[in-house]
Amino acid sequence: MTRPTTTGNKHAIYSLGMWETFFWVQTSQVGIGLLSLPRVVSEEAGHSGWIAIPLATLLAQIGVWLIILLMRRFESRDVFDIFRLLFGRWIGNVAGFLFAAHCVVACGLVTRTYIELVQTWLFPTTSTLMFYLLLLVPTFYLITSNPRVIGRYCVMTFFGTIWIAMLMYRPIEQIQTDFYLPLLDTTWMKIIKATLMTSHSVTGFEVLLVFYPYIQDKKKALRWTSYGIWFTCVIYLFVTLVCFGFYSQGQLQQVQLPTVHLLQVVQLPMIERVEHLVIAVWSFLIVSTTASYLWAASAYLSRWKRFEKRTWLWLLVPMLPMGIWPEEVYVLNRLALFFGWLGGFICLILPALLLLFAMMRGIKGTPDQAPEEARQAS
Amino acid sequence: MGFLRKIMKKAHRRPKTDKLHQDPPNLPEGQLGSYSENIKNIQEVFQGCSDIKLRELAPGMVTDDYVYVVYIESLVKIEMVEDSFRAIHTLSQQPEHLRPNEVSGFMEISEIDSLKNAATKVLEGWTLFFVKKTGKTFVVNTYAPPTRSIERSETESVILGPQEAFNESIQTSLSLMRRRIKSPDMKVTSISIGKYTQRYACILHMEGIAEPGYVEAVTERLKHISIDSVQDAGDLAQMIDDNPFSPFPQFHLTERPEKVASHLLDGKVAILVDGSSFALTAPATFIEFFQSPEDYSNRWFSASVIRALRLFGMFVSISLSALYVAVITFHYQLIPGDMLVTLTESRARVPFPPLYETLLMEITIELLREAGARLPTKTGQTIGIVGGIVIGQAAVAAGLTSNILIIAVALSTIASFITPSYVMSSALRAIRFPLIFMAGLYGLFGMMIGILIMVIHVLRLSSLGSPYFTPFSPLRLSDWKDTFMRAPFSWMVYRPTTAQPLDSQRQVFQDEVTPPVAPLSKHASSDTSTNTSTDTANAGKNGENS
Repeated sequence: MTRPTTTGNKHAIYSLGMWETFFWVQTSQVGIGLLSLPRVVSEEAGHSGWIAIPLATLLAQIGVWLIILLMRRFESRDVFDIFRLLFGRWIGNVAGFLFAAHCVVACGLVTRTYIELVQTWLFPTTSTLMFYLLLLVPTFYLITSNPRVIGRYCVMTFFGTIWIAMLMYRPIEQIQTDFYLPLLDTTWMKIIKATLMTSHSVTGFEVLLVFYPYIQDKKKALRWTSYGIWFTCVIYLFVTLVCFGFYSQGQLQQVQLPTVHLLQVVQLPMIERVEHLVIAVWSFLIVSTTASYLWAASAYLSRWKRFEKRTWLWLLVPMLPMGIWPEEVYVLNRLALFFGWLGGFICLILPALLLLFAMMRGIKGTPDQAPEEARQAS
Repeated sequence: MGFLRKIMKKAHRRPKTDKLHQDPPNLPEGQLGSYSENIKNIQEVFQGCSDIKLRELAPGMVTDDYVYVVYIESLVKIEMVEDSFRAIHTLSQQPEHLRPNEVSGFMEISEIDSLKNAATKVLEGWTLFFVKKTGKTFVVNTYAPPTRSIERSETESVILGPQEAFNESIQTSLSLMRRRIKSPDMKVTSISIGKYTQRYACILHMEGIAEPGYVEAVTERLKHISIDSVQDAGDLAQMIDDNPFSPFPQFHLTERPEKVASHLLDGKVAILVDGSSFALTAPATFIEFFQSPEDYSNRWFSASVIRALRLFGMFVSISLSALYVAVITFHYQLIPGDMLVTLTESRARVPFPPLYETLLMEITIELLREAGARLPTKTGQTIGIVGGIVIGQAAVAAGLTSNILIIAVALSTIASFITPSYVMSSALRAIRFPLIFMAGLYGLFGMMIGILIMVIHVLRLSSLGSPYFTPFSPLRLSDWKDTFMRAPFSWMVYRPTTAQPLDSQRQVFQDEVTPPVAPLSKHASSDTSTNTSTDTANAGKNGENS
């Protein structure tokens, strides 16, 4: 099994079907953010905060649309190539490096937040480093394969975790509908602020900038990625509405991770505290998020021949301090917020700027391979 | 790894040997010469092989000139040699220039001219004749070794459905296949593998259904095997599969002809190996190892329930003992209060941590299982008693393990036996041990990491290049009809997409057929002696008329 090296071949061989596209987008968004999302929106906009979620998804939809427009302009090129085409070799590489660094840091942060959760709930005394290294094993095993496997893993992630939604039946039974009313008693400014605060949860689809060339049917790419983000929106709305109905606003703002607390009321006949199980199974989602970020970053490295194979592991080096350094939850939350905004910028503003720049300069991508060759390769 | 290999080489110096040669060794080169030269050469070749008979027939009643006969006594039937000699005798009589097939009847005769060919043919069970009078050399196919009769399948026994199984003779296996698929589309190509064993392998596929790429891949891979011996289909599979380091089998290993036939008709490629009672089929997917031929003989509902049970059993067999370790060591909060009391009571006397306790019990059960498998059937029953009563009861009474653990371990072992494929079930049993370790070290988190690695591994696997975990991921919803459930046949119109069959439709849609009207007309009800074929024919006609 030799790994194909030329870009065109690679894209055809490891192309992603529509389901893989859909679930990749969806699972790259759903991650650690969902656990604290109801509290975040409630802190900003009270019990009308759930409106922020469709609004944020609307913004995400615009972001996806911009990204697809940009990627269509540069056929079978990913964002690192686009940087180089637009800004020349040196600045392009630096910009690519920044993007890759963002991915690595986001990956480290997600991992660290999850480990914080595991330490709080399951293993208070085990060291961060140990969990960190453990979690990196499946992640690296995944990213050293090909994008197709990552896409398939995202499909599995969905089936491996969707049953958690069924556990919500107990909290749903105890919902008090009064908690939803009156609607829209806050100002729109607050709702918009809440929308911005959700960016940590909604971003994640910036990986699309890298895996777009692998999508098999590029005409349907916009449709399926949009389905993906709206599906995420449905999941988020469901969880948030259940939380809002179950907790009063005062209670909700007290708990750090309302989604996990919500599951404490669930008692199955065989299992008493389901949330322990859920936290362990959540690693499915964490690995899918971190792996897609890390794979996007490693795509930057594999641009150079010498980094093509095993040297993926170099990426570990900048991640390690990021994973262990923030000792306090407070610092971690601030960082998550900051990088959430950065992610929001990359998802929405960056493609717009790139598109604008490309249109002004009149730069278009050229397909780097004849279509016949690509078809033969597949 | 290179470093390790270097150390191993330094530590263990091999005696220097000659360079490996690819061809079958010690076979003579060159053309056949005169009668006496040939005899000398062939005697030299088969020197020391006392089972190979080298005989010269002197002129007398049977023959009028010297004829030299070479055959392997244990491979041929002596009556056939006798018959073949008559044909040879006719060949050396007047009129001359008769071609071999003009005298042979149904016997396979050919004239050969190279010494190597002569030796190979003898080793394959043909009989070699050097005729002095004409100076020609003939070989006659007299291969009829004693074989096992067709017996019941032992490793994949079923209650419903055909019971016959392949056996070690490839001729029997091929005949079983031909009996099931009476179509010229079933193509059989043969190839010989192994420098010394020269084992025949037949590659079977259905033309017009099987994707030619898979056939090509199998043929190429088999051709590139360069090894001294291949003894069984199981080790052959490990030489040609996509990831030889994986614990999971990537070829179906089955001894049931109807399973191979249905796989062939799904567009898969089958390999039959002479000397092995197992056939290989590929591309295989993970879920197919949980399908038993019985599922199709049984009614769809009960088959579906059993299928679902099997998949549940798979999860249990992988994770139950690991879950026990994780929960008892770290997450006792998961257990409901009432049950916790019982559990604590039963564990109170146990002096070991749960990890060691579980490993002790798991290893005991595996020892019992292995001992039961190796022992003769009569002694095997003792194992059951020893295992079930002595170890089970006594271990608890002695305070070595808790009751609950015995239940968990026994349940996971029983659940692993529910998997129809032996290769897959042993793979699943082996996977349990790393998971138990992970659970013992890091609880549910560690267990999840283990499961994730397993999931990713399965996703990375491929069988002949087609994805291993197929109906789930890559998601092919139309193939789900034969996974958790076994849908009624009328739903399974299309072949599974795993093997990318060229002709994807298996049957016509039910509503496209004119349904035969039920034979409730006055003729049919009054006259019961009418045979069924005319009955249905009439019914069909009635249906068209009405």
